[in-house]
Amino acid sequence: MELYEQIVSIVGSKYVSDRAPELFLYSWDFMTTEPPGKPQLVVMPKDVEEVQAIVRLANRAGVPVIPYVQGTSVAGLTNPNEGGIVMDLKRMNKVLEVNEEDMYAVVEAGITQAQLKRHLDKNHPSLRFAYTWGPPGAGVLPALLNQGFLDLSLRYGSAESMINGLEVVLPTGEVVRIGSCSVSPYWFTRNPLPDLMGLFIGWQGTTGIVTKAGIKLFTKFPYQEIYCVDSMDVESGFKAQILIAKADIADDICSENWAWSKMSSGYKLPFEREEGEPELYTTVVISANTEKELEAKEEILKDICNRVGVRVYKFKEILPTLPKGHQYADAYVNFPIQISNDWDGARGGSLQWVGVYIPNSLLAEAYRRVEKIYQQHGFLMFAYNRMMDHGHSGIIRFSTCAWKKHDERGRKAVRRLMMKVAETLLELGGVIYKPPPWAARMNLKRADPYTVELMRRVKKLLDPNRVMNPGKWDL
Amino acid sequence: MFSLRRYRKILEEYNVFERCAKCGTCTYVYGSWAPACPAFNEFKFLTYSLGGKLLLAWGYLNGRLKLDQDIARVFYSCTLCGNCAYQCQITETDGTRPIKLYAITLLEAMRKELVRVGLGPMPEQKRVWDWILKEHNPYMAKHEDRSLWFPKDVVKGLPEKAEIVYFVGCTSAYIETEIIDATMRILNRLKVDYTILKDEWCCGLPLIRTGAPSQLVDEVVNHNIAAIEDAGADMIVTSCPGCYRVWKEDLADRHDFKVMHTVELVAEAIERGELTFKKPLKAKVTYHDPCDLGRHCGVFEPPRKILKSIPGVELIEMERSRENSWCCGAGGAVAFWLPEFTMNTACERIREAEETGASLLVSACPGCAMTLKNAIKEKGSRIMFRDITELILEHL
Repeated sequence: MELYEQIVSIVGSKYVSDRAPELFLYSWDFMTTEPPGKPQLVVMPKDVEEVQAIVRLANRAGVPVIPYVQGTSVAGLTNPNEGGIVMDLKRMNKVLEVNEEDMYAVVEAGITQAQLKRHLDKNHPSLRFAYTWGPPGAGVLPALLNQGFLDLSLRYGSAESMINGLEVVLPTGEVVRIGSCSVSPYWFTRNPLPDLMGLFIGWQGTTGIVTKAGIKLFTKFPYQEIYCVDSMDVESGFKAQILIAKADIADDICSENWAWSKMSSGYKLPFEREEGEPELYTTVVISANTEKELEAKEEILKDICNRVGVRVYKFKEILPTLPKGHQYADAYVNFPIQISNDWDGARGGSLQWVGVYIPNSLLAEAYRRVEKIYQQHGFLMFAYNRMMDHGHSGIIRFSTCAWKKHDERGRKAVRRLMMKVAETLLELGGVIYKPPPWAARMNLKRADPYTVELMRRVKKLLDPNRVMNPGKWDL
Repeated sequence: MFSLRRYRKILEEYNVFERCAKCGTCTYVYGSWAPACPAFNEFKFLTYSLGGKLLLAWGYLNGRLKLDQDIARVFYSCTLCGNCAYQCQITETDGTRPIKLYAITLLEAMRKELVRVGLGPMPEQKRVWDWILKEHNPYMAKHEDRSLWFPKDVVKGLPEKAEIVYFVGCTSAYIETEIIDATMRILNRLKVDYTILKDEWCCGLPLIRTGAPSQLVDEVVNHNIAAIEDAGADMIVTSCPGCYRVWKEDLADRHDFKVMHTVELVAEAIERGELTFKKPLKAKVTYHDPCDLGRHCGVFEPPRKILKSIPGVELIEMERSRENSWCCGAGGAVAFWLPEFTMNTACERIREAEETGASLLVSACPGCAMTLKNAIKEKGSRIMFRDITELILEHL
C-alpha cells in the first residue's frame, strides 16, 4: 500500500493531502530566507493515537515527520528540508482542563494563541496566559518549546519555564509523560523528578512530537499601566531597563529601536531617523493589586528614569498621536496582535531575524557592533529586546524585512547579513535561539565538543531512524 | 494572469498577495478570537484560509505554482463572505486597509482566471450558469413559473410603469416565496409608486461570483437594465441582499438607478414617522446579518432599527454580529456544489443564535432564510426563523 493510502487508513481521507495547494502551502514559511522543502504529504491527526500511528509508519517507511502548527517560527523550523510528512496539529486544539485553584491548564499540541486566549477570557476571566509577539494563529506550545519570550517573561521566566508537564510521542512511537503528570493526575509542576523536559525543549521537534502540555496560568491584576521610556541613545535606554528590572516592579520590559518603532507605525521603507527622534523606545508594563501599589511602583520607575536621564510617560498619553489604524492601545496587554502589520515595511511579507540570549550588560555593545554590520551591508537595522527572568538574562533580536518574497537577490543579501550578525553576536558571548539550520551549526561549532556529543547521543537514542524534522540542529 | 491584469495597480501598490505571512488573523474575529472563516473551519488545512488563498495566488503570479483542479477547488470552496478580509489588520499610515478593501475582489478575480484557463467553475456551478442562460434562474426551475407565487391580488393593481421597480430575485421567486408577498404588501402600505418587471431575469449573482466571462454576465444584466428602463423606473428596491449588492456594487457603473433594500426603505419610513408598528411581539429576537447586505454593503443599522421599533421585541446580538457576522454558509455560490459545507456552516450559526436565548432568529435575506431554515430542521432546533419582511408585515 502506498504511503498516502496508509495515512488515509489512519486519519481518513479528509485530513490528508498530497494535492498541489497543500504541498505548496506547507513547503515554506513564506517569510524567511530559509529555503522551502518538498513535502510528500500533509496530514492532520486528531489525537495522540493517530500521531503515534503516523510516527510508527514513518519509521517503517523511513519518511521524515515535521510537526507543524502555523509555521511562523521566523526561522523556517517547519520547512520540510528533507521532504516527508508535514503533520499539522491544528485539529488537536482543545483545552482539556483548567485548574483555577492551582493555576494551570492542560492543552493539546495544536492550540493557537487566539484559541487559548478566547477560552480563558470566556471561561476563566481571572486568569491569563503569557503570550509571544507571534500572531493569533501561532501555536502556543511551539513557542514554549522553542524558548521564546513572552509578555510575562520578565516576571515569570522565559517561555519554556511556563511548562509544567508534557505528553510526547517519541520518534519511535511510544508515548511518555513528563513532570508531575507522570505520577499524579495533576499537571501542576515539573518537579521533583529528574527533569526530562530538556529532552524536548529547544530541540526544534527533532526528538518527538509533543501532544499535550500542562502550562502555567497567571493572575490578572486589577491595576495595570503601560509606560514609555524614550532614550536618545541605546546606552542610556538599556541602562534604564536593567535598573528597572533589578527594582523588580515590572511585568515586562521590552524595547524597539527607532527603525522598528517607525515601521510598527506603518511607515513604508525607505525611511530615516529624524532629528531629535529617540534611538530606543522602551515599554514598561506594571501591574498591581491596588492603586497605591501602582503609584508606588510608578514612583520607583520615575525615579530610575530621572536618574538615568530618560523620558518616561504613560502610553495612553501618546495614543491619540499615533498614525491612523495603528493605535494599538491594548497591544501590550491584550495579546495576541497581528504583528505582521508591524514589521512589513517592504510590503513583501518577508522577515528574518537573528535573536540571542545575552547577558543584559552586553546589550548596548551588541547593538553598536551589529549596527556597523548593517551599515556595511547597506541595510537599515531593526532591533528589539526584552528583559527576561527578573533581569537575569535578556533577548535581543536584529531583524530585517527589507525584501519581497519574490526577490531572490534581496533574499541572498539578507541571508549574508543575518549570518554576519549571528557570527558577531556569538563572538560577543550571546547564544542564538530559535536558530535556523545554518545558525544552529554556528551554535554547535562554538559549543563544548562534549555537549555536542551528548546532544548527538540523545538524538540517536530517541530517534534512531532520523525521522523527526531532519535538517534542524544538524546533529 | 489576464483576469488579474485590471487589478495590477492595486497589486503593485499594496502587494495584497505577497505581503501575507500566514499569521492566521484572518481566521479569527479580531479581539474575541471566535472563528471567522467558514472554509477554514470546515476543511482545516491552511490552504482554505484567506492567507492560504492569497499565497496560492502569489505562487501562481510568480510562476511557482501551476493552476490545477485542486487549486480551483480551494478557490471555489470559499463563501466570499469577507469576514477574513475584515479581520486582517494590515493598515497603511493613512488608515487604508488594503486586504479589507481588495482581498475579496481579488479572490473573485482568481475565480475568473480559473474560468479563463478552463478550471472553473465547478461542474455543479457550470450547470447553474447554463440554466441561468436558458431559464434565467439558478434553481433548475422553469422561467414561466417565476411569477407563480406572486400575490395575484397585489400584482393585479400594479402599474406598467412606476418610479420604483421591486426586483424580486430568484430565491424569493422560487423558494422563499413568502418574502414576495410581504415585500409587496409593505410597499403598498408605504404607498410608494412601484411595479415589478414583466420579465425579470436572474440578477447575475451566481455568474459574477463564480467568475463567468463578461459576455455571459452582460446577457442577463443588459436584459434587466432594459426591462427596468422600460418600466420607467429610476430606483430598484429589493428584499434580496444578493441582488442588492449586484445592483449597488457590481453593476454600479452600468446604471444610474438608486438601489435600496426593503429594510432601508422601511427604516427611513419609521424615521419619518410614516410607519409604526401596532401589534406587539413579546419575544427575544436575534438578528443575522446577511454578508451581502452587512459586511459587503455596510447596511447594519436599518434592520436593527426596525426590530427595535416593534413593541415588545428584545433584540439580543449574537457574539458574531455586524462586521464580524458568521456567514450562513451559502455565499460564493458554494451551496451549489458543497451542500454539506453549507449545512455545517449554517448549523454553527444556529448554535450561536440559540446561545443568545432568543426564540426568534430574523434575517433580511431569502438566501440566508433558505439555508438557516434547513439548518434549524437538521439540528432539530426550537428556534424559529422569520424573514424581516414577514415580521414587518405581521406587526404593522
